[in-house]
Amino acid sequence: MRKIDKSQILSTVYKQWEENFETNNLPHDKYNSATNDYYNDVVMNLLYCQKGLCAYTEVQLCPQEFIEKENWLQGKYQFNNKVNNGQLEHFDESLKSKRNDSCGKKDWLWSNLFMVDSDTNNRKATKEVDYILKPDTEEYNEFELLDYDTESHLFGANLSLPADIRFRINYMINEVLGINFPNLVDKRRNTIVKAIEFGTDCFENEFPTAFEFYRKKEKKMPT
Amino acid sequence: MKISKIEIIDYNQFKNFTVDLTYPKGHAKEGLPLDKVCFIGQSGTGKTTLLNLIRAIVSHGLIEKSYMNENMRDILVESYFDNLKQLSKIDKGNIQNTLFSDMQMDWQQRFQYLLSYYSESNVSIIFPAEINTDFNSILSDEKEKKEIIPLKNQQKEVFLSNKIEIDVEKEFKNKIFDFEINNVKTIWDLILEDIQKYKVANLSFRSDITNKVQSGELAPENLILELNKWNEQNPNPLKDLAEKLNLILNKFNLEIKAEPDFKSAEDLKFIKVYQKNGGEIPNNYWSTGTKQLILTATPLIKLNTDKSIVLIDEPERSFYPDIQQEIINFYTKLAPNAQFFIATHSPIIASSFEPWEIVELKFSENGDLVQDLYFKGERHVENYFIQPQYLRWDSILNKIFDLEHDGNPARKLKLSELSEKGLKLKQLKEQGNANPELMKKLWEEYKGIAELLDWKIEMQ
Repeated sequence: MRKIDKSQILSTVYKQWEENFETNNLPHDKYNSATNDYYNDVVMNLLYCQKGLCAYTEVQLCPQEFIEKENWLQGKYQFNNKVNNGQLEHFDESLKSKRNDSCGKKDWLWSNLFMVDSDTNNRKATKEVDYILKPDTEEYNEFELLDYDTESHLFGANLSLPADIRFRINYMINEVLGINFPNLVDKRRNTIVKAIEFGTDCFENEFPTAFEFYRKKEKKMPT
Repeated sequence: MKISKIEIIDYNQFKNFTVDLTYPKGHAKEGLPLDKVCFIGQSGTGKTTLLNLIRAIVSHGLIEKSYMNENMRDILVESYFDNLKQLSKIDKGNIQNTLFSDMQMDWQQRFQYLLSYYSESNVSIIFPAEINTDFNSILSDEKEKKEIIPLKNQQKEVFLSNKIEIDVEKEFKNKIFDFEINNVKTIWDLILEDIQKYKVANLSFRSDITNKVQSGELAPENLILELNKWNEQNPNPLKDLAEKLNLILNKFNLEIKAEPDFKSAEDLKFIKVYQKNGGEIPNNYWSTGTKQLILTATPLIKLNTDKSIVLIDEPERSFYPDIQQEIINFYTKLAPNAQFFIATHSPIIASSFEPWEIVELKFSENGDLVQDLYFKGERHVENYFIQPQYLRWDSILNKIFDLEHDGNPARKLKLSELSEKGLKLKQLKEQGNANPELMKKLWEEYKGIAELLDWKIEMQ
């Protein structure tokens, strides 16, 4: 789960709208993916920042051509590309209004939004989050916080961290973000092992963090 | 009552078959009867036969004759009423029970003992696999011909009366809740009796209090006070039911409301289910999973099961895998002191059991039925080599349910296709001067097939 730089704002029209809520301390419009004017802009800008990958699991959510800068004009995304296996996710669900709330909360807060693999998002649902693994914060550093076991292909907390911090990180990895979900581990393991075996890892976009850990530990760069 | 051993010399497919239903050596409950037992095995291996045998034993033969027959012979069942041991022998369809107590007991004394043992608890609750099929008759208005006497108001004097045999048997029978044999509407009327009474009383109180306010007899500002007073004096039985059933119902986006809600007399008939934060789902529109849950869990919530045996055939019916994963734990928490006997075909249900709680039935090479044992040497917790709770679902299918393949035969063909692509990629890599575009294209194709195989790409 690599660090995400969300300062690259292409959806300037949305951002202006969002900042208006924030600077004037107003409740946001209630979240509605179907009718909101900026939904598609937010989705495509996030995917641009996330290089087309799920913010947590690093599986690919859309083809590379969807996230080219050329698809944008005057702060609006120009196409209606569908990201079938990805969902717009509120990292901290408590900031999103509920159906019965009379008005919105911080439903469209840029810093709280990520694009996430649909299965992962459904599993995460309303589980309580720990900001320690929020991938766009200044202090987040995947190589200091995480470790990767190249045998089991499971992520875990960096063993050099204190036990209480490790507990918090492992809770997020295993219970909230779904990074060690069994099917995902199979895919990650086999993608890494086979891509290196075939020498095709240079073409591979998915799982950059796991690849990085794997290469560092195995010290076996492909020939 | 808890069953600790079954021995069958010769009955149907069982020949010289013995199953130990106690905790093994090394267990904290070593030697005591198991709290829950799971029968698994191919169709025809006798799971239902064993359930029916237990059904006959716990009911002391007071069940429909179709579950007992003359071929039932040389069957021995050991059980315990707390510390008192009972040996039951079935021969030619007749049950002979011997209670090992300090005193010799005749028929009357034995039933007297049993009735005092079951004075608060019920004897057994039996759920057939097809429990949903009786749903319409539960909702029906038709009165039933069969009469059931009230459960708890029997007086001891009944033993002194001339009708002793009939009354004692009747009272004992009324503590057997068999949803396959008994008339289910009558059973449900009994189970929901307190809720229905509460609803009627609540309705009557509200009507009464409204009239008092309208006539000026009660000041409107005292209305809430009166309501609170009534609520304190009349505990709401729906509250406990809703709290427990909603643990699972919420996963179907449904709920039972603790507050009584009346629109018509129909509302008094049965439990009402609502969409979470939404309207009511009429009984006729309940999903089969909703029916299965309510029809099985409600009796376990409402009836005293402290000394009961609970039989559930195919608890997986109509439940999605995530609910199957939880349902056994859910049931056993609702009836923590009961002994459960379950028959299943579901690897997920089986994973809720410890290995000594599973009785896997299979045919030996000579066609006899045997129990597949999961331990080597002595029956000790440390000698078990299969622990379903540690296995993946696919491993349970392979190791416990003996499934030979890891998927549909089409999967094997797709794995071969993937293997060919992999070999081609390796060849290109070894040649050293492969066209990168070709490599990339082949890698994308490889990944496409691997995705279809869910990246479980090793041949088994």
